Amino acid sequence: MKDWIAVCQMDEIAPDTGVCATLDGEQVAVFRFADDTRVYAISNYDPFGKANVLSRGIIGSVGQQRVVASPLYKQHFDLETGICLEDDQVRLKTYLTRIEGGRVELNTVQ
Amino acid sequence: MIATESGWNLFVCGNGGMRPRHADLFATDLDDETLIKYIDRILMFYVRTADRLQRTSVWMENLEGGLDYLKQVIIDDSLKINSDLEDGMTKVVSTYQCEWKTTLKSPEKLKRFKHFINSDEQDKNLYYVRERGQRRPATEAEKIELIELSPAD
Repeated sequence: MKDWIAVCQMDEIAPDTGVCATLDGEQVAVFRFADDTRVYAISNYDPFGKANVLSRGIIGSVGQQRVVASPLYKQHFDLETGICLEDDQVRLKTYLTRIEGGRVELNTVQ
Repeated sequence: MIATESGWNLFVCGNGGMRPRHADLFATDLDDETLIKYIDRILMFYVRTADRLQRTSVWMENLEGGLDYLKQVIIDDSLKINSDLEDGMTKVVSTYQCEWKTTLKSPEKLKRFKHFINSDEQDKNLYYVRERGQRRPATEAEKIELIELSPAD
């Protein structure tokens, strides 16, 4: 059932930044931390700023949570759950990720 | 720099803005070569001794000995560092690069300017309108209108 799709090479994502990938017509922000071996994938659409910009956001930690801050109005989104820290009614779609032979793969199945 | 009948007059460390300061007359009647030498030395001396983001005017105000001290260093070579300062400027000039140009030449760096890492498509959510002959992002209301008007894919 699982459907994995390679979107880029791991080394195409500069450590501590993100890229945007297109996956079945959806825009996905994919992030890589310098001190982590996995990547995080979350919808690229910022519902507050109404723009596809989250892959350009600054990533970091709030407590134990790994987050991205929107480059527009700076809301934080939990990279594991997609939940907005400032407004927990807002939840972005997240994607399963894995690294296979240096390739970053995303899962199209929720 | 002000041109006079007999050469160049060099003024230094003036400032505009919130805290204006008149520039000080540093040297008079310089030929082209000496003028550029003095400027190179002063700039390198400033680069090496000023605080980050410190204006040359503030640097001068805090410089012990002030203008006279600067003249001793630059004109009389009192610290014996002038050749070193000139070498420093030569290095800066010879290693200068336009970072935009360098980026445009690098396929690696240009990747950062693409919307998608795995496609050459553009973001379909961007809409623009023309105003006074210039392109600007559409407002929410204009966007809705534009979406309705555009033909179906």
